[in-house]
Amino acid sequence: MEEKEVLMDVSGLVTRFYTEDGVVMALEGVGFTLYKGETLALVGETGCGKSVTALSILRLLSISGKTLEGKVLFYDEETKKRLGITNEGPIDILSLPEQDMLKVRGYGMSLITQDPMTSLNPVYTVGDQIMEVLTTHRKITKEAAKTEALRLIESVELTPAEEVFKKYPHQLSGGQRQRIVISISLAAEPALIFADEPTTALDVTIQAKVIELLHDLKEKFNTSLILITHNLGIVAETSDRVGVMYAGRVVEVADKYTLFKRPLHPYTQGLLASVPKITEKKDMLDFIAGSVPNLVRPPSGCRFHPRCPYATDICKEKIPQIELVEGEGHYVECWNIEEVIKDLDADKEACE
Amino acid sequence: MEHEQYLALEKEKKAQTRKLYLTFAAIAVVLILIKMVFITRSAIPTWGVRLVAVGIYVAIWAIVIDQLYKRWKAITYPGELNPIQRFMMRLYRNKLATFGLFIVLFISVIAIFASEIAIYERRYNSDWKEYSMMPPSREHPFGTVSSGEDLFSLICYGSQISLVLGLSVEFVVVVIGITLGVISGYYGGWIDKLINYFTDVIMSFPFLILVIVLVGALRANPALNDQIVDFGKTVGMDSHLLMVFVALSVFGWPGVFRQVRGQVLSIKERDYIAAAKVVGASRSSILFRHTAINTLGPVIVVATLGIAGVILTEAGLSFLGFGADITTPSWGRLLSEGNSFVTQPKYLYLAVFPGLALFFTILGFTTLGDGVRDAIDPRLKL
Amino acid sequence: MKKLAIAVIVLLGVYTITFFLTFMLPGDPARVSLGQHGSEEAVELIRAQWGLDKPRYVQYYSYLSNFIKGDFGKSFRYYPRDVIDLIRYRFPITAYYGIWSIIFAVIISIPLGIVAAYKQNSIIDNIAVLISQIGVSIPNFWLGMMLIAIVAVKLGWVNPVPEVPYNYYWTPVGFFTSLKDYALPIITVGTGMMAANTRLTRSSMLEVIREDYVTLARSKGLSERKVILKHALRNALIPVVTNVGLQFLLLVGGAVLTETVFGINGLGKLYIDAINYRDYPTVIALTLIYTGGVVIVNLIVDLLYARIDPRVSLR
Repeated sequence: MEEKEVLMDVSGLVTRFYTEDGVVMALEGVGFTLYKGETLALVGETGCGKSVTALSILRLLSISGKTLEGKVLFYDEETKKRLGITNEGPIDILSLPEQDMLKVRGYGMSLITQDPMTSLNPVYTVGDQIMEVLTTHRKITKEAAKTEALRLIESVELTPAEEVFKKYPHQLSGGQRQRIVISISLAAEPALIFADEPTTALDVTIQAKVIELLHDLKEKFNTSLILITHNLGIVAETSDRVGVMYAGRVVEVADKYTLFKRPLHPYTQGLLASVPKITEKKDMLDFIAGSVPNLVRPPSGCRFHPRCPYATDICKEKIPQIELVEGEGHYVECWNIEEVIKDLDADKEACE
Repeated sequence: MEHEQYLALEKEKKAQTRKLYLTFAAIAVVLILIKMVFITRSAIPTWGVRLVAVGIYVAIWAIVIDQLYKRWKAITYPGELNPIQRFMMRLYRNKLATFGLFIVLFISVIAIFASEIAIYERRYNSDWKEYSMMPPSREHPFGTVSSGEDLFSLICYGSQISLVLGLSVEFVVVVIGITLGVISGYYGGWIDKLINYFTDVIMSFPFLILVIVLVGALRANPALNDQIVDFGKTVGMDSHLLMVFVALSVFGWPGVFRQVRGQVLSIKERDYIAAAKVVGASRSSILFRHTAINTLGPVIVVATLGIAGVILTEAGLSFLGFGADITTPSWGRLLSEGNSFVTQPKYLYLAVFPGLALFFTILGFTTLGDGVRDAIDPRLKL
Repeated sequence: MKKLAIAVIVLLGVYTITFFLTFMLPGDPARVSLGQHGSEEAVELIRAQWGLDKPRYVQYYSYLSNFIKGDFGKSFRYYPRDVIDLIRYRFPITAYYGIWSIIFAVIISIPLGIVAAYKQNSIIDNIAVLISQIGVSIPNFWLGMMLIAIVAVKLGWVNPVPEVPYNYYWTPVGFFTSLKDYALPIITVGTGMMAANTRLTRSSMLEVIREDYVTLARSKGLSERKVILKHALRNALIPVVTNVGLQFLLLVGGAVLTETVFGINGLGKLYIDAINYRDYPTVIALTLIYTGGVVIVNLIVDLLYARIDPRVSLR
C-alpha cells in the first residue's frame, strides 16, 4: 500500500449536551485517524454520536452542547498558511480562537448537511449562497466569484448553470438541492469534507447518483471525506476505511474489506448480521438484543455490555481502550477480544 | 402481563377511582355547606378574623384537592410519571408562568370570597357625603371614592365582575369557535369560505371599536335596550354589562376558530385518520376523538389569553363609559373616576389601586397562558 | 390582483356591518341634536334634510356612493360642517403621535428581540421577556394615567397634557422637537406594540437560529455577525412583517383610549363623541377609515411579503 499521510488525528473527544431533561453524554472519548485523500465512513445507529462528532470538530455545536475534552490535530498545510502558523506540527483545532476557526470552516474543512430541504436559506438564490463561500475565503471580485460559482454548478451536473444560479432553493428538487450543498462544500477546496448522511433524505434513485457524484469530485480534488451514515450499502460502495460507533465511542476501525469480511467487535458483528441478505431466506430478522442506551444515564464501563454476549465483570467497570488487534489497521476496543476472535475462527473452520 | 389480568386490573382501577370521586364529592358538599353557614359576614363580623377564617378554609380545600390528586395518582399511575405531573413540572420550571398561576388562583379566591374579604358591604349610606373622597387610612386602606364607598371593598367586588365576565364570555367564545372551526375545517368548500370571510371582516375591526359600536347600538335601540334591561333586572345584573357580555361574545371567537380550524385541517390530512377509517370507525367518532385531544391544548392557551383580553377590553369600555354602570364596581369604571384626579397627588389613590388590580390580573392570565403554551409544546426550548 | 379584489370585498363587508350597527342606534339623531325643546316639525325638517326619512336601503346605497366619491356627508353634530373637514382637522393630531409610537415600538422591539434570542437565558433575555410580558398586559390607559402622575406631576419633566399646536409639530423641525411634549402619549400607545413585537421577533429568531441553513452558513466560515444579520434576520423578520397589520389594529384601539386620558382632541375623541351624539355619518366614516386602514395595511403587507419571501408568489 502507498504511503499514507495523516490529515487529522482525533482523540479523546468528550461532548455533552446540557438539557432540561439532564446532561446527555453524547461523546465519551471519540478518537480516530484520517488520512489524506481517503473516505472514512462513520457508521452506527441513530443517536450514537456520528453527527455530533462532526459538529464537535467543526465547533458548530448548538448552544446547549460543549466539548469538554479532546484533541483534534489538523495537518493541512494550506490551512496552516492561511492562519499564519509557521511552526512545525499540526493545528490544534479545539484551542483555536473563534476568528481563526472562521478561517478553517469552509476553507480547511466543510460540511454537507443531512436534509437538503432545510439546509439552504430560502430567501437567497442558490448562486448567491455559493458565492458567499468564495468571497469569504478569497480576495475575489464579484464577477470572478460568479464565474467560479457557475463552474461549480456545472461540476455537480446541474445544467444549464446560468439558470440554476438564479433559482431559489424551493424551485429545485431535493436531489438538486443536495448537489448545490455539495458544490458549496467544495467551493473553497477544503482538505476535508464532513458528509452527514448526505443521502438519507433523498429518493433511492437519486441516492446512487449523489453518492457517485460525491465520490468523483472527491477523487478529482483529492479531498478527504468523512462519510457519516447508517446505510451499510453506501459504506460498501464508496468508503476506504470504516469506523463503527456505538453510544458515543468508536468501537472498531478497519479498512472496508476487512470490516465486512471479518468484523471483530461484538456490536459490529451484530450489526452486519442483522442486515438481511437477498440470498438468504429467513423467517425472522436477526437483531441485537436490548436497545440503544439512554445517553443521560449510560451504562457503566463499556457501554455495550448490557447487550453483549461476551460481557464479563470487567466490562461493567472499565471502558476498554481502542487497540490495534490485527493486521496493520484493524483496531477494536473490547476486553474480551481474544474470546471473540477464537469464536470467529472456530466458526470459519466449521464452515470450511 | 396476561390480557385477562390486565382487564381485571383496569376494572379494579375504575372502581377505585369512582369511589374516590364520590368521597371527594361528599367532602366538597360538606365544605361548601360549612362555608355557607359559618364563613359569612354575619357569622364573623370582625374583618380580620374573617380574613383568617377564609385563609384557613382555602387551605383546607387545598389539602383536600392535594389528597385527591395523590390518591388518584396512586391508583391510575402507580410508580410512573403521569401526564399531569409532567405538565406541571414543565410549568413550574417557567418562573413567570408559576407566578401567573399564583396570581390567577389568588384573584379567584378573592372573587369567590369577595363579600367575605371586603371590609364593608355595599349598601346605601344616607350620610355618604361624609365619607366621600377620603385618602387611605386605617379604616379605609385604599381610601374611599366619590360615592363614599370603601375602595378596597369595591376592588374586591370588582374582581368578581372581571372574572365572571372573563370566564363566561370565553366559554361562549370557545363553544362558538370550536363549532365553527370544526364545521369549517371538516366540510370545507363554500361553507369554509363563507365563515372565513366573516372572520376576516371581524378581525379587520379594531376590537375595541367593534365592541364600542355594538354596545352603543344595543344601548340606544329602545327595543333591544328594554329587553336587555328587563333581563338584567330579573337576573340581577347590570344591564350594560350584559351588553358588554354580548358584544364580546359575538366578536371574540375568531381566535379560537382559527386555531381549531387549523388543527382540524391538519388532522384531516394525517395518516391516522385514514387508518382509522380503514378500520371502520364511524365518521363522527373519528372527528371527535382525534381532533378533540389534539386541539384541547392550543384551545386552552387561546382561551386563557382570551380571558385576559376580555378583562382588558371590558375595563377599557367601562373606562370610556360604554361598559358598566355607575353602580357597578368594575375596575375600569373605577379608573374612569380616577382619571379626573390624576394630576392631584392627594387623590391619586383612586387611579392607582384599581389599576394595579387590573394590571396584575391581566398579567396573571397572560403569563399563565404563555406558560401553558410552552409547557404543552413538546419541543424542547433549548 | 386577486388580493385586491378580496380586500375590496372585505371592505364592503366592513361597511355593511358598520352601517347596520350604527343604524341600530336610532335614538333619533335629529331629536338628539335639537334636544328636548325642539318642536316636532323642526325634527321632521332636520330628518328630511339629513335624509333620515328615506328607507334604509336607500340610505345604505346613497352613503356608499357618496363615500366612493369621497364625500362623507355632513356631520349631524356639527351641522353643517362636512365630516371630512372634521376628520381632516384632527387627523394630523392623531397621526403625529401615532407615527412616533410606531417608530418607538419598532426601534426598541426589533433589536431587543434579536439580542434576546441570540443570548437566550441571559440577563438581557430575561429582561426582554419581562418587559414584553408587562407591556402586553398593562392596560394602556392606566399606563398613561400613571405616567402622567409620576412623570408629569411628581417629577415635573413634561406637561401632563400636550400643548404644542399641530401646525407646529408638522414642520420639519417641530416634528422632532415636539417629541418631548408628546412623549407620554407616545409611550402609552407604543408600549403595547413594542411588547408584542419584541415577543414575536424573539420567538421567530429563536426558531430561525436553530434551522439547518444557519448551521450550514456557519460551516462556511461566515462571521457570526454575518450569519445573524444576513441569514437569520431576514427569515426571522418575515412573520414580524406580516404582523404589522395587527400592530396597526393595536394602534387604533390605543388611540381612542389615550386621547381620553390625555385630553387630546384627535380622531379617537371625535369617534367617541360621535357615537354618543348619534352622529351617524361621522361614525360610519371613521369606522370605515379605521378598518379600511387596517385592510389596506394588510394588503400592502401581503404584497410586501411576496417580495421578501421568494417562496410566496403573487396571484
